[in-house]
Amino acid sequence: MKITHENYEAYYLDYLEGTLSKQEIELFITFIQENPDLKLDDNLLPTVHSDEQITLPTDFHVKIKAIPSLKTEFSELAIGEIEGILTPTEHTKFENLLQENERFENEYNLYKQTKLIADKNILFPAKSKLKKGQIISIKPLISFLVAASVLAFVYFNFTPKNLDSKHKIATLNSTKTSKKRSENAPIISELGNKKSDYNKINKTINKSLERKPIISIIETSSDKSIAFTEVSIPIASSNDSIIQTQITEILLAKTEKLPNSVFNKLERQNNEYESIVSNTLDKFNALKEKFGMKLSKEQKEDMLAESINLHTRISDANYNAVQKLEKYKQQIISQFNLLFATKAN
Amino acid sequence: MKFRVTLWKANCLINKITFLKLTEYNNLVDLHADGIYRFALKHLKNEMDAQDIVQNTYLKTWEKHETIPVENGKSYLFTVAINLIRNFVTYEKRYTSEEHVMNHTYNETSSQFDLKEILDKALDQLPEIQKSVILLRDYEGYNYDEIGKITNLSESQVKVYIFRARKTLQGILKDQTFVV
Repeated sequence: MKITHENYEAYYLDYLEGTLSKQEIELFITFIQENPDLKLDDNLLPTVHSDEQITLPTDFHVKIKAIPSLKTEFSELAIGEIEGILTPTEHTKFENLLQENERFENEYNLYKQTKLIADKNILFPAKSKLKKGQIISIKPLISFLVAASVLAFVYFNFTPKNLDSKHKIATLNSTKTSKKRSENAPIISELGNKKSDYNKINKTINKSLERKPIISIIETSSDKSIAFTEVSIPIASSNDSIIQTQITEILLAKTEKLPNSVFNKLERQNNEYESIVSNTLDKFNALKEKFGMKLSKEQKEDMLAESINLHTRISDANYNAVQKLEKYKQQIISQFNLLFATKAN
Repeated sequence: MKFRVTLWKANCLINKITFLKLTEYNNLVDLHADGIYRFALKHLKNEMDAQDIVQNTYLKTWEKHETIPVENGKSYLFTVAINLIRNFVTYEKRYTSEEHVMNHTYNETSSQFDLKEILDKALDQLPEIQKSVILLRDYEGYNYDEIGKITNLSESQVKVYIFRARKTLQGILKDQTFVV
């Protein structure tokens, strides 16, 4: 058997035990001399016992595997280095071994070449076949269709639209709320601090108050109606826009009793409006009295500013009142129609 | 069993685990189909067989996509691919003559020395499992723990297999270089 770097330590041990034949001992010594880098204790190198006949033991190969050789140690360290898992101590040991033994350099280079590199030019040819398209689940579609059918059935059978005209209890003839400039309203930006300017505002406010939006409830012996009084409010506001409101009467006829909550809402709305208007009007009248007195230019300017402010408040109150009326009107009509429709069915 | 499934679903909800949907699945195709193909090709040395492996891998993944967490998509693909390759190789070994298998040895390489070719053929000398772990390590850059999960091995087993594989490859390279 040839002595190599892989098995020389086993030979060495057998050599120490004196179990090698003369020929093997000669081979071993020759090998040691040819490889001076091998780590062996020179003092323990025995002399050749030429007369002894020694045979290799049967567990020779087992012994080889059991002995950790320097080369095995280096291999482990080299692989660890490639894998990047060496501790700092192991790394130093690896570096030292590499420096001390020239032949390890070649070993290490070969280990480095065992790192496999993927050829990125190799591509899977039918990638698009692997992909999946959008899947439309039928379940939600069925749910949607069922829901739509139920809604359609309810809509065509139970809504007031399907009612006979005689069952219609509330109708909205016409309604219109818009902001536009009234012919007689003053343009605030053009006002100065003259009495005539002040009078222009005064006149407009009085007109507005005369034609404020009012909700009245008309009750006859057989019918009950809610009439939204027709209003047309020409007011100038601070941003020079005018509110001109036109509300036509709505008749809610042939009804049962209106819900109290509706009346309460309407009443509250009217009261709110009244309180804003009367409060502003008081202040305005006070200003009017003051204006007859002798005032400095600055005082006149202040008064005019105050009157414009009050005017704006009335203007806003009017506009808000009209807006709310519109809203309530719609609510009342739908409530009545729906209530009656349910009863009729 | 039902209770266990419910518990699992509850756990997924609590930990906000999201599962593969159409978009994520298609992303997996874009990102890893080439890698799996190369992996299969290294094992099987046959383009058609490797393509079959890729197709079956994605087919099986799509069948289970609603139960695969998004973050495990790639490792799931490789686990499926490895199992398919193992089955394929077992089948091939059973029905192919030993003579044919032996033809894969690289006795002829000395005449056409090329490091990559030697390495490729050296790779074929490795047992399947060693080949798989070293390819997952070098081609896909997985760590030992991840490779363990994909191949159903312990971390230390993976480490030992990689060490053995590198040692074998190095030995073959050494012999071949020496011959040349």
